[in-house]
Amino acid sequence: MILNIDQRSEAPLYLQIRDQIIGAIARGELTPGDALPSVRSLASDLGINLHTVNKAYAVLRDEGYVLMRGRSGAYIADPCDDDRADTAQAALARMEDDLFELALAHRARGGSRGAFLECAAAQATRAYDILDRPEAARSTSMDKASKRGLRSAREESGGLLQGDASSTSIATGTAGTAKA
Amino acid sequence: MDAPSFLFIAYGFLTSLVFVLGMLLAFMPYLMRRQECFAVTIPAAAALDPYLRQLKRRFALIMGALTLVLFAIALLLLATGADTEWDGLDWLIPSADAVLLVAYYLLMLFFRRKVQAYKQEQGWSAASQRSSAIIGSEAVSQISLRWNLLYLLVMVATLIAGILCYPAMPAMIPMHIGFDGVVSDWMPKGPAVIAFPMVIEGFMGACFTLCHWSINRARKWSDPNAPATSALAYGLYARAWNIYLLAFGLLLSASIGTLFLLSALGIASLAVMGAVLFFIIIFMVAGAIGLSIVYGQAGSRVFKRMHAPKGMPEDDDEHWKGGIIYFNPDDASLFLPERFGIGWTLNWARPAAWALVVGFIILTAGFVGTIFILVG
Repeated sequence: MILNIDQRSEAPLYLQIRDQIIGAIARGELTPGDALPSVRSLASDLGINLHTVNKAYAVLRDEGYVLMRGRSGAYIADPCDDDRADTAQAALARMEDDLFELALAHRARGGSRGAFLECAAAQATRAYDILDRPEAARSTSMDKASKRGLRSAREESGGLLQGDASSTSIATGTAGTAKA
Repeated sequence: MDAPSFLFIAYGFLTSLVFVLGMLLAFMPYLMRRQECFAVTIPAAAALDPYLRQLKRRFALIMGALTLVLFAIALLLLATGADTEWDGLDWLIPSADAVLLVAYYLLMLFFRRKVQAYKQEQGWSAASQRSSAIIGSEAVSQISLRWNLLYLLVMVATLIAGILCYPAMPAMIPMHIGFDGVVSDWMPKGPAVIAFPMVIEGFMGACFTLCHWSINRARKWSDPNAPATSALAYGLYARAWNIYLLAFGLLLSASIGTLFLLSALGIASLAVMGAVLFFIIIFMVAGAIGLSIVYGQAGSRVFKRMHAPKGMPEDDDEHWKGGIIYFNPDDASLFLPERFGIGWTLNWARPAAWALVVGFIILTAGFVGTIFILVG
């Protein structure tokens, strides 16, 4: 990864370093077990004070992103369960935001609440079927999608919530029998 | 090899070094990084500015003319004075080198002033103080310091060869030769005959290892506008210089040991030894010039068509005193690429820099003292 800092920036230097290293871990540019440069070497390459890099590493260590070995060795830590819980929480929040955006856009186009729910349920079915029965799920979802396209073109108004729910139950039911 | 021709070769060699040094210094502005012009930080795009290019041309012309004048004087003295007893060349050649270096520095300061004024006039300033570092995958791996253990191997080989040759050595060993080719100093046979070349090899090995260590430890320079490619260019540059130092350091120290033992045995004269060393130094100089031209300072010439942005990501001119002396207490770097020349310099704000200089003086004094004790 490439670490970029700006000494004139408002953000403290140690936070700039910390944020970028966390970003690189999130993007997979730094993976657990990767070595970080020694404090002295990184401070020298960036042309900044030793204490600044020391502080950034100490923060990363305290937050569990980095393991220190002696004075010079710093390694990216394995992600711990707490982190996973955090990321799951964040992902859920992001999904809710995304769904909200989609629903809003659907409403703006004049779409009904029911049509949106049907569509969301169909996609959920498709996603969960992929896990259980990959081939079947792909084919059923394909023709279901085309059918749905026709249907939604025909009937713009709501009242399809019931039908949608039944089709979901049928889909899960077939998946269940196939597995059994 | 008879005496006058040896003298002639020696002077001819030193005279041509004056010429080579002067020419390299004359073209130095063209070997610097694009973000610097006469030790002043400028936007990379400004490297093509007509006025700055004119300044570089003027610098090259003045330095080139001065070099030619000094070279002509030295040649004239070589043609007239070398065969006589007069030893004008003995002081002229070192002073010609000194004149070139002083002129180089003063001219740089003169042109630096002009660039500083021009920079202000153009309103070039850095809104940020950016810097970048590469973490993880190194594009170019460093040459390991362990290679310097080969100097110990050279010393051990000299010791073994010395012990094996010792019975065949004459009672008096030639130690010093004047420029007239006549041996002017002798040493009686003894353990010092073997210790003498080993001490020289050890000292050379220590100096070359110190250089290697400082290059490996130096700030790995990268341009915040092109961090990956500039870091790659710098890595190639540092690696090339490390290979150069290692190859010539080992060649030089091994040659000194071998040639000294051969001359002690009476197989080769000290004049031959001098001639061989001259040849190695010629190759060293040629190699240094080649590396300077191919790589430029800090890898500035590795990639010819790098994107040259108009902005300045950083400006650390305030830390460069007199253009070339770096003093920045807030920088952890002990070594970093120098500003107006090829190579590295020290951050004088760090106590370690001063400790290093004192340590080097002590090392050199110890070496000279040991040589005096050995030679008697």
